[in-house]
Amino acid sequence: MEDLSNLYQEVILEAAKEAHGRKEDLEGGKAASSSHCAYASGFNPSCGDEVEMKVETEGESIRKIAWKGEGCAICTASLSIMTDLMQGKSRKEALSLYKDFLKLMDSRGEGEAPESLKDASAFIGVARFPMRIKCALLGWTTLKEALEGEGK
Amino acid sequence: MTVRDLFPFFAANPDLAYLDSAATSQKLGSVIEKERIFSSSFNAPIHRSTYSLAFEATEEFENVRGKVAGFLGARAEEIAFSSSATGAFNLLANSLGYVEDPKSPLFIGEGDEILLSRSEHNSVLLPFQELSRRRGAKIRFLPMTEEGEVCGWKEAIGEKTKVVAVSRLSNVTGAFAPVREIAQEAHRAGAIVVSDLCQAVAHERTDVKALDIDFAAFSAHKVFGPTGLGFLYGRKPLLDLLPASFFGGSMVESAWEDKRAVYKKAPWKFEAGTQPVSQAIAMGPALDFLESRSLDESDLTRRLLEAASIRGVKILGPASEDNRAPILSFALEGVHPHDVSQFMDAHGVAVRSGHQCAQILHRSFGFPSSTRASLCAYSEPWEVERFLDLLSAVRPYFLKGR
Repeated sequence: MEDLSNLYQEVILEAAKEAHGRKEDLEGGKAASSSHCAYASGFNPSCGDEVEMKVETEGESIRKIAWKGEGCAICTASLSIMTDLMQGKSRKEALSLYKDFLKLMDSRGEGEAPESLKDASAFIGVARFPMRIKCALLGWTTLKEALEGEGK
Repeated sequence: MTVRDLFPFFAANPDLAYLDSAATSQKLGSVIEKERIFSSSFNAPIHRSTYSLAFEATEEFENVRGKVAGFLGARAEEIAFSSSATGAFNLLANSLGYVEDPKSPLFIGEGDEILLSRSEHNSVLLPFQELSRRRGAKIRFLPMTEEGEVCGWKEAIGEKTKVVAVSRLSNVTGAFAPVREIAQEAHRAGAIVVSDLCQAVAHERTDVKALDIDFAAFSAHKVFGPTGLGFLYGRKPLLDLLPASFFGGSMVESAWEDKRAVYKKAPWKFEAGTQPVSQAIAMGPALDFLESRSLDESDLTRRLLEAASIRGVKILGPASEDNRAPILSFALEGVHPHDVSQFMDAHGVAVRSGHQCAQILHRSFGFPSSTRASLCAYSEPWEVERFLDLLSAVRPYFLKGR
């Protein structure tokens, strides 16, 4: 089942279990007094999965991402890996990574993932399953919304 | 020759366990052939031109109306063609919104209530929700048991109740609803009874008179026929009272420049524009098959329900095989339905995952979505066996080391 292991790469299955950034309660834990919090939520109408996200920024850089929600392995792993990847990135870098990831999802699984995406390049297999792209993108579009909502 | 041999799809996909028949069934070879022959040799407009080909097409089309009626235990004038079951329920709800006479048994006004079961498909829920919004009526839901079976209708139906909609067979729980008992109570209160028969007709001989239903619909593609075709049943006096809500050619007797047009009688007044003629004619052989197939699916249902004993499986529906069709929705602890169906797909089993157009029911069960395996007349035991084997392997694959 080559397709299956391509989709659910080991790094994805692991990340789905670890779910970095997942919180029961987004208001738990103290934010640093100098930081600012932005919120957004995302919804996948095909399965009803929802994610709520809190993005803590300090100046131009992302200090911490926390999220709440239940999703499939792809969705959860994508959120977890994105949480790690975005840590300490500037707003501009984060949006550029978002664009790289979007491009990866549009790639139909052909070509190579940009190095900038690190572990997130494991999702290249998802791009071959159009029905699952929304699962992988849910966390990323929610982050983008939180960051852009900020600027408004 | 097995039942399966009647379906070319299985010759093309001999190794696939197709367990998504509740979403769409595979088509009979005789259906495909009938449509091909009609389209290639006998195609002509219906209900208008006078040459012999047009007459023959009209006759074949109307014969299918008669066959659908016979299949439901109704009369031909009680059946209207539509684009789908969704199309039929939209037609019904829109037309109810055109009723102007407050004394009509079909009038729904301010403060009236439309009572739905929690397992109604979005194609029933949404047209009636929109109707209630426009008319200032209220949507209410019947209670359900822990296993998702409709209950409490005696208490819920009251003098404000104008419509009671209960699908005969849920596409999620696989349970038949006691439509006849509910209908008797509804009629006592002067309400009309609507029943979604999409799933039921694939698994039983549904008789609308025995069930005492006023309006019903089903779609062709879920019972071995073509897509783009559905049927509305309406009890004769009520269908006559129901105004048309979709206007155009074929449904009109005469149109003038300075007064309102006169429309045809029911059911033809509901059939504006060219109908899906080749699909309707191709439905004939599907109805012949439906009349002749075996209805004993208890063995498949029993095997399918063995899923309940697999670790982590929670069934959304009754655990007992009584009064049930081989449609099984379930949640698997720790694994999302999308991952379950993806895993099965990779091993040659097609199952549905998601909310199955029944978000209210899923919310009532406390799960946003589920995985569903659904069988029908052509399903075979090996498909269920493979499904069960794979189901046991899903949690170990996704949850290893946890």
